[in-house]
Amino acid sequence: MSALDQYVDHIRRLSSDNKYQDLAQSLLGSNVFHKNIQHIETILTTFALPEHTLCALGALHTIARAPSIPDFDRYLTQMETFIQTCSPEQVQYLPHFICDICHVITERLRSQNRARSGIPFLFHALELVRREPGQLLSIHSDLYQLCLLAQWFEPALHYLETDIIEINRENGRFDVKYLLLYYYYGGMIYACVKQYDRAMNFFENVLTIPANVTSLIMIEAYKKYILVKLILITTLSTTTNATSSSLAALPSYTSRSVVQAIRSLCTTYTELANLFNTNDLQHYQEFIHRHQEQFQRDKNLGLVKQTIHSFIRHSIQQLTKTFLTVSLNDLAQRVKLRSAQEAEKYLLDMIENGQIFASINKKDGMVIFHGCPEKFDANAMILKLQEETEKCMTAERQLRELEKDLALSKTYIQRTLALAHDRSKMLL
Amino acid sequence: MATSFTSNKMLMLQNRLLTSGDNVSIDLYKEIMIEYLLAMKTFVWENLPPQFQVDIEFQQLYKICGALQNKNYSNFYALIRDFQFSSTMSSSIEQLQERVTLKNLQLIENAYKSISFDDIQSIFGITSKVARQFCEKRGWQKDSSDLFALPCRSAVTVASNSDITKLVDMVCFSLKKISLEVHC
Repeated sequence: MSALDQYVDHIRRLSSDNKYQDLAQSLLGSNVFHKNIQHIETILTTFALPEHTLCALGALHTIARAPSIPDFDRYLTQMETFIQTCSPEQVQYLPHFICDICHVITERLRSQNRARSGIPFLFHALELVRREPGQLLSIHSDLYQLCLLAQWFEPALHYLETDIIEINRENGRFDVKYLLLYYYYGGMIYACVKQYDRAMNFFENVLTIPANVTSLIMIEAYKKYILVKLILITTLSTTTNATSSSLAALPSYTSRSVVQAIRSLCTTYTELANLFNTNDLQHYQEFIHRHQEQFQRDKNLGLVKQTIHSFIRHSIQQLTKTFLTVSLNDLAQRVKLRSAQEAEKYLLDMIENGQIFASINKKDGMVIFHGCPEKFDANAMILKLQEETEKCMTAERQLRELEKDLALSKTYIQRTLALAHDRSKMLL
Repeated sequence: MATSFTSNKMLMLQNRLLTSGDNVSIDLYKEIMIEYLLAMKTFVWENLPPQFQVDIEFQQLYKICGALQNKNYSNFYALIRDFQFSSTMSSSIEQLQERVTLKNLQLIENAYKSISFDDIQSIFGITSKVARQFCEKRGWQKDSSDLFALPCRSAVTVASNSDITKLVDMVCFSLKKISLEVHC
């Protein structure tokens, strides 16, 4: 009996005896499959699903890790069948095998411009491996990447709408790169569907991950963070005390190395944010025109163009702090628009989005600015308050559970005991 | 915290798209397109398989989507009026037209103290005759020249005391619970 046959018998026996932990260790520690890759397809057919899920997964993982996959479409079909017929309990012993396979498939589909065909597969793989809704896997970033390439966002939004509270270590193989990419791609998806507040939140998460060195992902995230913040400025000014002077500023808990890297590598974007304060539309547009090539290279030109509209809206919003009434013509002149009709279009947009409160009197061509009419006494406001209170209570409950898990973790207890020991030594 | 993005119907349609594999029918895409338009979101034409992009009804839907995105309402109504939609699509298109008209009427009420019937036609695509009918239905006044409508806002319902009491009780109970846990 050859070494391969012996090995296959051994793992099949372990699988039949439900010794999945031993089987997982055996698959991790052995390279018999790698040495006999030419026979893998034949061996795979002997592993019935779902009984021998781990054995089949080991074989499929070997094919994925080979220098090249001979028949990729056939392999993709095999994986789709595996995902639908395997045992989810057995997969949990080697989740990083599924993740590795997903990375290889994603990369191959991306290079072949077939992003769309991988989305259902990754969607089902995620459902198979994740243990609870708020758990992060490296497969998330693969799915989001393909969704962005295919411009099909709903499968990603299904996961993005649930906040992450836990990371699946994937047997120690989870890399921080996947955490950065989760929030980076997630921010891009939210920017595509014009949920800019969520996009800004996601980009900020990328920037504020504790770091001793700066990742390129953080640099790109900062560029988009600034642009999204500029697009959102009119909404931010309405709801918070955010001013245009704080546009380029990062949260105070951002790592020092990240702040320094951004200062030296993203000067164009920081300067763009500072120009927002000048209230000079012509100067702003000239700056964008001068650096158009760079924005195009960074693939941010679309967002940059949207900041021009935001600039105009912000200028109009600033006028509401000075005037109670103003004519449409005067408003158009002050904001440097072409005509009163264009000013009216901007006003309508802003009134519709709740960015200003105003009434247009077309009879005499005047605009009257009001204060916020919300008296917080309508049913909708009560429901909103109730919703927000429930969200706070859920977040508080989750934080308490995280705190409890942290306090009971072995690493934390060892560290605090070591610290206490050092302190008592110093006192002596 | 995350907020909901998709309606239940959209989730159901997306689920069908995910599980259909390569056998996706053009009608499924049309339903998704309409759902996007009803939710006032932009449908991405590039997501559609090329063989569906030649469908004339779909091309018309795409033009309607473009008109809505550019807020070119005259074009929006013209595109609907000048095309014979299939029986599966016509009720959804009618629903879309009603939603857009209602949304614009609400915007006129919120944004204008006075607006000419000509402006209602040029900005919102609603003909002068239809605008005058809405004027009467929604209780708007007209000025003495009969050229300008004077929109008035619809009333906002105020909460009853019992709702506020329930909310206050819930918040107080939660705060009491948190402070007890802290003391323990």
